Amino acid sequence: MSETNGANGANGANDATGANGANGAIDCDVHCAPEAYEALFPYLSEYWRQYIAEAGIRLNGLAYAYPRGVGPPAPSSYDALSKRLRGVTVLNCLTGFETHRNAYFAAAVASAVNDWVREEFLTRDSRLRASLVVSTVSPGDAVSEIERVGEDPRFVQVLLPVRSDLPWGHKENHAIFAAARSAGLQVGLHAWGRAGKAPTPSGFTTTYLEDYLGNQPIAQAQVLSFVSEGVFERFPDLRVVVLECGFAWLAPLLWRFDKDWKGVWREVPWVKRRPSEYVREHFRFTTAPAHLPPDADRIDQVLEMMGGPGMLTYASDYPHRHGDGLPALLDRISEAQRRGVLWGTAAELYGLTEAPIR
Amino acid sequence: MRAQLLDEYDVDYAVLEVLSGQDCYDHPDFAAEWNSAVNEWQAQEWLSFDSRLRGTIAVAHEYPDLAVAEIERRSGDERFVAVLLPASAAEQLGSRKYWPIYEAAAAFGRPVAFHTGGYVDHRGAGYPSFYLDYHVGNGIVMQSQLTSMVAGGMFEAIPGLRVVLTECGVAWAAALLWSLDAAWELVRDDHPRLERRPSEYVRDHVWFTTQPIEEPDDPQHLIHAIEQARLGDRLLFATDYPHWDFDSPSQALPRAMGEPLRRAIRCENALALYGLPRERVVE
Repeated sequence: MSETNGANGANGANDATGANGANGAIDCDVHCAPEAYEALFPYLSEYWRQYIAEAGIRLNGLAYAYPRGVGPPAPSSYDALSKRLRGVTVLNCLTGFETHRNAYFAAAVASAVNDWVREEFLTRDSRLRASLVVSTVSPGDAVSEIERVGEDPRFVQVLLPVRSDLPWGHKENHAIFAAARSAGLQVGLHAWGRAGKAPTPSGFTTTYLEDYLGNQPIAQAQVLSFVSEGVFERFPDLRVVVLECGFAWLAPLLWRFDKDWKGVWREVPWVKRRPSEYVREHFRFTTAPAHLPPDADRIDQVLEMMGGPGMLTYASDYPHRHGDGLPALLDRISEAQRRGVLWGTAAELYGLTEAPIR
Repeated sequence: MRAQLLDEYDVDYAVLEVLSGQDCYDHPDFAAEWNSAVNEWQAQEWLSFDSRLRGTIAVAHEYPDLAVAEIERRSGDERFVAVLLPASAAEQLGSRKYWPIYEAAAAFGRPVAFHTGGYVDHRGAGYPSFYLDYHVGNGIVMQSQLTSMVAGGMFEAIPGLRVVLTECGVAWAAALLWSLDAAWELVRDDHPRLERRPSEYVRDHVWFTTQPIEEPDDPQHLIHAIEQARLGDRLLFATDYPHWDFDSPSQALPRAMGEPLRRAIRCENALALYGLPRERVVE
């Protein structure tokens, strides 16, 4: 399925790291976000419209928190986005990541975001796919939302923030994965999430740089959780895509994970194989950011140690910038591997074929 | 310890790290008194009994003025070769709150050793269910702390500061350095105090102990990881005696490393960092 589209992969990828999305690529992470809650009003009940209006609740944080150099706010309309579209694109709207502890509100906003994404974007361009967002407060509400919209084939995965109150692999969350698999969805684990407690494993941050890089250690903690809690023994078809959290850290993490498991495996008897085997089979990582060594030979080492470029799937993370790691990476791999990173891995993950779904 | 470790493995020097005063929620006066007692106990009961032993100055790190006083008190005893802090505290370790401790350590020529442990409730991903995740996670915590240390500017502000990241693994360093440098390029405006690339500060100020050394299937990969981060002269051998995941001085470092690197890690790097007399070390 990737033959024709893969031919201009390299150009597409260079394009992607600069101004644009790529022809012949599946872009696994393009952002959209409403400018204000009012944009979601058509999808919210009168009760929540009043709740938002009277309490003066505003969208905050994520969309506008970026310092100079990192990129503008995400597009809030199809017209704003459409100039950028080149190929099959997975939209991710993080607006619901930052909602409140009110579980009823979190569920209502998640539903409204999904409806808004569907009406504003998915119905208008057959190249578009999206992540389905859910309450991050109540697993039960997450399940209900997956059941409500998950059958729509344009939603390809359930999107969870990498910051969480409980690690996502925890047994309390398994119902989310059961619902996702029932609906044919995978799980995406995306950088960021709710503020209000330390966003890192070491305490509160004071700069964007710490927040940004803080996504990488907590993504590592989530990888550990999915494996140690036995998620993949229970859901053998589940794949987890880690978005915007890097990947060069993977190999050293797995070396230590395997070593420690060898010592204390009796604590987690449901983990039947070496942790690294589960991770290489079930996890994939997007290419933004590709934080890589300046030396090209070292890039080869990173790819070899992590299990090969098959672990990676292309994302532009439009409209955010992460430096110029991706062209250097694509430059070091074969044409077949490039096709995999740019198309094949995502196509397999999400069951996408070349022909857009009508 | 003599029978099980020092004689058994022909150890030339062993640095003690006493963690019992590392909780951050003690009453300040108690914390100061306890840590002072820990240091006196090290001096009387350990350092005086065996010339191979060196101590680390335990301090009430959440109360920097009290910590500084303890560092001053012990500074004349050359057997104390570092100041000991936990790897996790009430605030991130790059916080200016702790800088007086780092300034005192630097002024008295002592590195600051951050040892895995301490406050455990900062959990951006939630609290892990199992010891397995928790223990692997110690390396993850240190990545986050090193980010805080660099971003907060303490290496720029305290040029003489040397830190030792202890019991957190080593192989993750390279990936973090690439991320730090890339992120710094993007948001330099946000960090006017950081005049150099983050990896340069780490290169000049940061050492790592080896245990628990990562064990890839292909030992060459560990060597790649060390070279990628230019850690050959920054790694200090550690056993973590007497814990279950003890790394053996005779077996933990893969032979594929070659003798010069193994020797640097086993002794030369620590001799240089701590200024230890080398007469004892058998060539």
